[in-house]
Amino acid sequence: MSSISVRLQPFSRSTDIPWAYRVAGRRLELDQPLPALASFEVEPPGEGLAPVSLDEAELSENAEVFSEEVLLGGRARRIDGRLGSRAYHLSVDSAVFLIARDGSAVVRLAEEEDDPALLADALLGPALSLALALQGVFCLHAAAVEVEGRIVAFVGDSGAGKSTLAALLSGGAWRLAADDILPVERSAGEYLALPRFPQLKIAPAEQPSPSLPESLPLAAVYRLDARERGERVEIQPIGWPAATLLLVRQTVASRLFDRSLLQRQFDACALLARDFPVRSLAYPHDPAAAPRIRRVIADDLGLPEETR
Amino acid sequence: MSDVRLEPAAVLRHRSGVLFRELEGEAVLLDLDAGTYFGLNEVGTRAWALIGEGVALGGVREVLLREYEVAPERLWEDLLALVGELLEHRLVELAPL
Repeated sequence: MSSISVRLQPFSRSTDIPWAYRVAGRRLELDQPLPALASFEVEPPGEGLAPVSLDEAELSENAEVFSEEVLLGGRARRIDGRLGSRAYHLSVDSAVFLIARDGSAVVRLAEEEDDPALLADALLGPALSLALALQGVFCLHAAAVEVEGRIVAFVGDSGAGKSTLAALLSGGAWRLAADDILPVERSAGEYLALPRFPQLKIAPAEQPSPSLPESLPLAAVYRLDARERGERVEIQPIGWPAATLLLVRQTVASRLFDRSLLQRQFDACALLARDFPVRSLAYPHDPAAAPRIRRVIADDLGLPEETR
Repeated sequence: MSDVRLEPAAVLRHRSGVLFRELEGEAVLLDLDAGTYFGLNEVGTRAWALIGEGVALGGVREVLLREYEVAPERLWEDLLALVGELLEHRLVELAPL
């Protein structure tokens, strides 16, 4: 599966030319432009909108999967997720979507005019994360940098300093690849990060470079442990159970997953933790420590001298 | 901590809907219904397997004493603590008589 059809308008026509974007290695086709995706826009296909058939009437068995208030776009939002036979019903306050069970389509059920900011946050947050997960792409709550054609990801609880560290390390041979969300997929036995993804918490001018490739091999995942100024930078291995639990807990929108998707996510994280370096990075929260942090990470990954 | 009284004769079982994945003697559990996760070290993983085989807690204690170098009192305390957590997280339940 390599595309997601998004319908935000109630009366889209097959003759309408879609707005097309490339996000997380997928082609998104929308029936209206979305400013937050401007830097991801690509040439639309020659033909019109592909037909999408998702009908709310088919949600005859709506087992509730999730209902909770969460912080989204800096505001408290009510999110409800219910699984039907062919689609997932997701509501974020008044923005309501149907998401196909295979993640191939997202349809907004428009009953009233939505606040554009709410629509963007809801679509590009939980709705897109869920659609990608249904396609086998799991989004990590992670900041990341690209160095020597590989992605180094930083995970940790809110306030751990992921975004700050990634921004601090960026420069020279190190490029910002993610501020808050990093999609990851396993393809042909390799773990790939998909850095071309809208980072909603930072301004357009601060977004990762649009010249970043669509997919890059993942080099390492570091769990951040803050230290006091002046302390050493240190990397330690994390055992497999702790690494698995770390990855599952840092998966975006996992509370929206039904049993089947939870199992897939669990297995994906267990495999990643088994096959891949997941380590702790203890570092002082001090901008002056950036060169030391780069050196330690470069040593850990065997990066060339010129990247240190 | 669970209110269940844990004695050597107690037999527990894995609750349905709990996934188990093991690697090199350690394991992680996923409760599909609650969406919660739990990690087990080597001894915990061995205890989980024995519970799944229907071994009473006293029997689990005996097997673990044979297989690991640990003082009996310490082992029983740790086993009760582990089982208490598994009960609290609804990963195991008392088997019916």
